[in-house]
Amino acid sequence: MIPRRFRNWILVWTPAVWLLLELLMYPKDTNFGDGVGAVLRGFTASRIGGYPAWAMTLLAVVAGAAGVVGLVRRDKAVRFNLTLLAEAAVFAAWAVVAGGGLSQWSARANDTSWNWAFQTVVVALAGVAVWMWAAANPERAALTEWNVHQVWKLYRRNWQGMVGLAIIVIFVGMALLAPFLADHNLLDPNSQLRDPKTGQLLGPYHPPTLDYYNLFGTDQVGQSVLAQFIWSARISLFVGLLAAIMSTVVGAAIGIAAGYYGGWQGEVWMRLTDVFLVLPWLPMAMVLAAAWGQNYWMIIVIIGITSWPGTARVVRSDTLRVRELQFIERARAIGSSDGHIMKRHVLPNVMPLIFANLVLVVAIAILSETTLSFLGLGDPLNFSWGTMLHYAWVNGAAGLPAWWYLLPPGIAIILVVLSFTFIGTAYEEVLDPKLRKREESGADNRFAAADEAVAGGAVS
Amino acid sequence: MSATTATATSAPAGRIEHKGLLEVRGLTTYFKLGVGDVKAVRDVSFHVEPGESLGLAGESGCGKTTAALSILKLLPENGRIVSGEVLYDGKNLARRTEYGMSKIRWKEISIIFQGAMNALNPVKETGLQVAEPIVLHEGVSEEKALERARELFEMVGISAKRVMDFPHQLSGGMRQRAMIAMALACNPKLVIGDEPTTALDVMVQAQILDLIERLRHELNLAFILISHDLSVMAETCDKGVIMYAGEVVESGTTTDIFRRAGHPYTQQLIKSFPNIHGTREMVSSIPGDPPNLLVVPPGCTFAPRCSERVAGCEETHPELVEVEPGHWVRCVHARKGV
Repeated sequence: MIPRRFRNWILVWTPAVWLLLELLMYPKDTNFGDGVGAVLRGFTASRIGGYPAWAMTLLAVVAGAAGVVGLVRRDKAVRFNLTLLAEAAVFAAWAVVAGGGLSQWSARANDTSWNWAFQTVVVALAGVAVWMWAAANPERAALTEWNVHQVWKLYRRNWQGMVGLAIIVIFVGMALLAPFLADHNLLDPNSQLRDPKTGQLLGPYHPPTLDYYNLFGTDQVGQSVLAQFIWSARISLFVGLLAAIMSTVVGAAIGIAAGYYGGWQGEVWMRLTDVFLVLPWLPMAMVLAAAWGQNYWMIIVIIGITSWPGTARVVRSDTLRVRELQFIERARAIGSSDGHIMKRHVLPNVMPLIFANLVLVVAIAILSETTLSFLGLGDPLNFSWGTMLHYAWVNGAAGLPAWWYLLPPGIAIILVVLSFTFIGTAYEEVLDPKLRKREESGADNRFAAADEAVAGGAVS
Repeated sequence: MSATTATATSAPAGRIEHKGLLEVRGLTTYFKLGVGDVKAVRDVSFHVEPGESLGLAGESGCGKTTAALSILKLLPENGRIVSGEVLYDGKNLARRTEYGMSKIRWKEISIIFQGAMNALNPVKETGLQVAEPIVLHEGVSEEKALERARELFEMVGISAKRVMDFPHQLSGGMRQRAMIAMALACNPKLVIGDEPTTALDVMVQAQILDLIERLRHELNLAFILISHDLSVMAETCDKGVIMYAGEVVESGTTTDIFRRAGHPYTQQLIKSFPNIHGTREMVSSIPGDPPNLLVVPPGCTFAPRCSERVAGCEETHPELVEVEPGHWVRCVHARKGV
């Protein structure tokens, strides 16, 4: 029997993930003037789910292999494994039908009109797979649900964390809903903002008025700053998140390997870390950006591979502590391999630290992206808050002073970075009882809570 | 020539004849330190028959845990088996590679670790940890292994509902039971208990000992119990080995050791435990400390603390003497038939 709250999660999260994927790729040129039909047509546009074919093929292979292994080992969760196989089949079909990218072997060359349907089926099947897993492992589902609930209960009491979370939710919401909030055509270099009443061009550096697109005024060529601001949020947050995840994965892997192996292997990894730590970050990132070209995927890679040393050091020091614990010796005695111990015993023990660190690295990554963009090394085809500041700076907005051009991206960056820092410290406090006040530290006993529920039921 | 052929036919190639299920022959283990080698275990021999239980006793630092860890080659990095043989099923484990040992560990010989508090990963469900050796050695899925973990939990007297509990949600006794369940996971023939009842209160200690005893008879396990607590040994073991400063000072059946202790060290060790039946008297302790094993004294290692020391004790090293069949004592006073 699946715990009720876990079931509700699946029912809420499956459509939420679907909506997220739809919104990320929602066509930027939708004309909402055409009414509801146009909005709905946007959700089935051929642009949606336009992922490279190799990614689809890879996912098909991974899901298929996992399902086959599960079935061969005669897992109890037969239905879960069958769902995985179905998922693999859908991915494979998607790769064959949509093709494109690296694949020239596509059966029906690059028919992308069914991408939205494939994406919907894939997300739905993923939801079914989670459901099947939970049905086969009700205890683990209950435990997961209980853990998340406990963390949330503790997190909720931290006002800083809640403020940070609220700000992030607002900005992420703005970024995702950008197609509905601002017309992407306004970012075209040839589309200057006009006064809605008179139809006159507003002209460069027009101060803000109450007109929606002119709420933040116009830039040096008379374009809407608001539209730029809203679409910039996407790139800034996306680059920040992905670069932080990349840097944390690299840093955590190197930190755990260095801490666990120790000896000369550990030394080699740590000296490498030191090299990256002492290299001046900015000049190196600038050189890499100049050499590898300017698009936001490259910026993600550059930030990812230059900002991991801090994480590596922190993770290594915690791994050194965990490594000496007796259960590691016990695991080795059982016959576990080093890889198994690192994955199953060390990683779960340092995971909270990695996660808390990730949240803080997101803030740093967003700042790094802003720095590179401000220096003119950003993606010229996509606006980010840093790019906006760059254009404002080189076109003399600061001297005018056209404050409406400089302040929105500046304040947004400060708010987002501050919020991630708040979330990071709040989460650390949740993890470390020593940082909490005494009366706040009472995480409920799972069994006491269950008993209470039973007792309450009996009374009523 | 004919003699060699005879041995070759009686034993299959590479198989070494030995006593019992496991025989340890002249085991010597050193730890390398910066200043020299600590001779932690020297020339230790004993054997265990199938289904038999053997107690290894002695005070802290006498090498009993080192001897046990040497059997499974689980020594720390600076420890090494210098000489001697660990014979199991016709194979010398002391000569085996790490890979070869991983085939023996848990499937044939398993160990109950000291201090269940720390031997369990605090962030992993207890049942999954009990299931870990099954996954590793039998290659089944985690879910299958978890089913077996549930059975094992019931077998050691924990409700199967608790498999998904984290170690901190279990009591000390339950954690120790979980460790025992883990040791039994792959149906071994021999289990080594490294102080399985230390750090538990007396009531729980008795329950755990009863449990071990019951499981031993149900599953026909051979058991090596390592303990500094002679009363625990007296209660559970068929045979005993008393160690002092890295060597065996006395070995024999538990009755031999407790009724007719031949070595002054054993006698004083027994005297240092209160007796609830006899007359009320102060418990005596043994004065002095065990010798520094970096430089092993030439004579009897116990001589400086011995109340029955005679001239020559500190110069000549006594050999083990069989005072009665199966009862061996390492002392100059020991005479056959005492």
